[in-house]
Amino acid sequence: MLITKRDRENIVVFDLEGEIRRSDAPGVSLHQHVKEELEEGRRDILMNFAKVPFIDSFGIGEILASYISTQNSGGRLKLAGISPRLFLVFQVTQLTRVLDIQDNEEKALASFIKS
Amino acid sequence: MKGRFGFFLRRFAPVQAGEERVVGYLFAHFFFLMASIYVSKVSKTSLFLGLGLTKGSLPLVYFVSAVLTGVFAAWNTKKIRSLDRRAYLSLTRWLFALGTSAFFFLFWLTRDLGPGRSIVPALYWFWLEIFVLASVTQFWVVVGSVCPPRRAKHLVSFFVSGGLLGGICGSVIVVFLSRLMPARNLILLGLVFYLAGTVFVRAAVRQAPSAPAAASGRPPDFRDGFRTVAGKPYLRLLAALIVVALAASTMIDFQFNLAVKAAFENEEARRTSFLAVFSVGVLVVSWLLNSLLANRAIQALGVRAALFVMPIFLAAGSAAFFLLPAAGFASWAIFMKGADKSLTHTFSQATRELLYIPVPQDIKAKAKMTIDMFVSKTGEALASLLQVVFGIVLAFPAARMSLVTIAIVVVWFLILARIGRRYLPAIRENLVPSRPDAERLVREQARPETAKQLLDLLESRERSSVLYAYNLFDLLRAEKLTPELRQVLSDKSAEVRASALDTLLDADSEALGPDWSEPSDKEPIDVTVREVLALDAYQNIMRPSFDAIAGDAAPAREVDQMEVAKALGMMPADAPLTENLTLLLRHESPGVVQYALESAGRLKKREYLPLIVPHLGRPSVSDRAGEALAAYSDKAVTVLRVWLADFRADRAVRQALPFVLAEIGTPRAAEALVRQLRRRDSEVHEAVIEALFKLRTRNERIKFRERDIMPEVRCWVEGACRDAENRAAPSRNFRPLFLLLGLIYPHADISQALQNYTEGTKRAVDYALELLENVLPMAVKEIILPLLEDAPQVEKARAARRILKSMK
Repeated sequence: MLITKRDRENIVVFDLEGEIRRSDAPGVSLHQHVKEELEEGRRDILMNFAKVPFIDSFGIGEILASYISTQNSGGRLKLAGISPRLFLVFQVTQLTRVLDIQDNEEKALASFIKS
Repeated sequence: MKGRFGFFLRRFAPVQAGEERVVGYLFAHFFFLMASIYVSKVSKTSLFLGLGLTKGSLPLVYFVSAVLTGVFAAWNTKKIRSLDRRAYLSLTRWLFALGTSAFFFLFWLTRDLGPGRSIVPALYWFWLEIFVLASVTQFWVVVGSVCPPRRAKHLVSFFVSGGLLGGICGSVIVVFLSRLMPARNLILLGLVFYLAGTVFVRAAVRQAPSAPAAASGRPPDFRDGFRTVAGKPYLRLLAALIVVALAASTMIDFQFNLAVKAAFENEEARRTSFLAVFSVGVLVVSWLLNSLLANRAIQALGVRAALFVMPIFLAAGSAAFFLLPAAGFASWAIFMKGADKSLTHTFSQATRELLYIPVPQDIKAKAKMTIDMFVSKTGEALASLLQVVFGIVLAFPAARMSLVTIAIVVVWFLILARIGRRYLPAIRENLVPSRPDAERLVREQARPETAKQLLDLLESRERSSVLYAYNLFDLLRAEKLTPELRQVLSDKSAEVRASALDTLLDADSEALGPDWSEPSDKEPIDVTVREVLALDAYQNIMRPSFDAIAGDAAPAREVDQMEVAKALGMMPADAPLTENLTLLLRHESPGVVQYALESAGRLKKREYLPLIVPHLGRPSVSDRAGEALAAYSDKAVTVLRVWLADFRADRAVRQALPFVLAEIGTPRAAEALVRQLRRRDSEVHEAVIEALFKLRTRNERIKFRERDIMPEVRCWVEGACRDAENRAAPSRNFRPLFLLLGLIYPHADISQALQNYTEGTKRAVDYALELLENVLPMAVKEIILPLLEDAPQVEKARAARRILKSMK
């Protein structure tokens, strides 16, 4: 899995690429990346999954840990570009009740600005 | 006949009200027929032995007699086919009357010829053999056609008693008359008896319930009969049994005739008198055996064991020949002949008739005729050939011929052993095709679980995509979606609200299958979902949401509550969120409770049990509650047992509990049911019995103790007896009795018997009772069968009194 970070309109955007699974975990995890940004005082974080074909429970655990950390820091975490298949996992686990999932990056950025 | 004689018959014979007249006529006919046969046989043997019989001529007579009677049987069979029963009776009556008269004149004409110079006694021998064959066979065919099979079975020994009495009377008369007139005159006396007997058989046929010509036993042609016998292994064995029995009997007859001839050379009057006295002795012993011992012995031993009585006796007797001094041969030969005849009249004849019970009526009519008329003659012919080989060619002395008899008896044993193994299966094969075991059918073929899951799936489709997905997971996980069903669901995917579900149902991308269910490539989605639900992070994040949903009584949240209830069941049992299930199990909405029950059954936590049990009384969710409890298996048994025993609990709940225990199906569940059975709690008693039977059907390895079940059987019997005594009371439901019996005796047989008895047709009931008779022990049969028999109220009341008395 490849994680790249960029800034857009004062929002930290993590572009994720490749499958997110325990067996293919990067040296620095997604959650660690998020924690680092939170420690630096960044509060709005967007994870872009447009190039993620598969995610396992380890990957979702990373997202949930990031969500908790963000919430504890008083920040906001949004998800975008999730494939239908991945959306199904969030839907069935009822995480859609809690997580803010947007269709794409633009809509996500817009929702940050609106709220 | 309904007056004093009818009363007499019912009192001293196994005759039921309404059949006294027919049974009385048949009894009288057999009485006169056997009187005629014994008078004629004594005369025949005495006349033949007076010819100057040599050791070589007797086998020839046996052989020719066997061939001639076989040929006659062929002719006779055709006559039976072409004439109706009454015309046939009339024809044979005239034929034998004329024939016997002709022989009387022939004997008179040749009266002055010296020993060994007349062929007439040999011809009369052949003639009489034909007469005996035709008339006795005809009698049993008439019995078979006018009495239902099971009644015929009960009446056999009564008719045999009539025949024995007739034989005794005829023989006693011969004893007195043999000193006053030559043996040739006595054959006319036989004719008189025969003609008297025909009056009664005609009356019996007139009185019999009208039956169609084919069903009344119009026999088929002998080729058909042979094909029938040859085509069925069981009938082949019966035929072989008759062959060896007749062969052994002919060997003993051979030794007997040689002994009598040696003892009464040229003394016709003394010889005739001795033969008559011998017949009386044999018949009296037979009658005593038949009246006092045979029936009870057959009942006690069972048909299969009773068949061994005669060959064992003959084998032992034949072996004893070698232990006797030469001078004792005549006495021993006479004793053996007496034993052979006595046992043939009693054990052998009665048990052979019973062996035909498993044979369907149409096949029996063909087979019995063929076996009695043709096959039996093969036994005599075989014996005559053995006599030629061993007696003439190898020059065995008469005593040593017993070795041949022993060899025949060994074959007899082998055949009996095979018949014993096939008797019960033959009865089972001929049971009326019964309805299939519905529960087993559903379990094995209809897959009710799949049906339920499909129903859940389709119902949830319009309600919630989350529920739909969960239900789809269940089906896919259990691999219960056929390709056709996948296609149907895929076609309908557009109707599903969540477009994401297309990934599950997209047939083109095979998403239902390999796309997400191949672990080698990607983890199946349901596995991912379960792992996510188990994450601590997930439990923490979702807690506020789930608590709020579960605790909200607003009807608008029903779908959310269903989704939560379903999700909880996919979590590990120790997950903190599962605490919410206690709230959902108390919910008013059946929809929510259904999902909560399903999840409770998956999590199997003890604290849910008191919340699940009351749902057994709610029709809308009782099935789901039962399944949830059954999923707990032994873990739930103690709680269920307490509820079941609690008479204050809801009646519907209590009546459903036995079936939950049956579904659990473990020895502990069985023990809980047995405990409750012993309480005889009327509110749940029948449900407990049904459940025990169901449990045994599902798990035949579970054994019940007789000491637990028999008291309940006896309780049923006592109740049924009191009902039978009280004519106003309706008949007691027989189903619990069969179910109880099925717990301790062969389950499959009792199930079949129950289904056939429930079927209620005469034939089905007969086979059901026959099956019970073969699988139940004597002590149980004695108190049960009289209550199940189709008998008039008066008979049942009498049987009930007898049973109650015996049970004290």
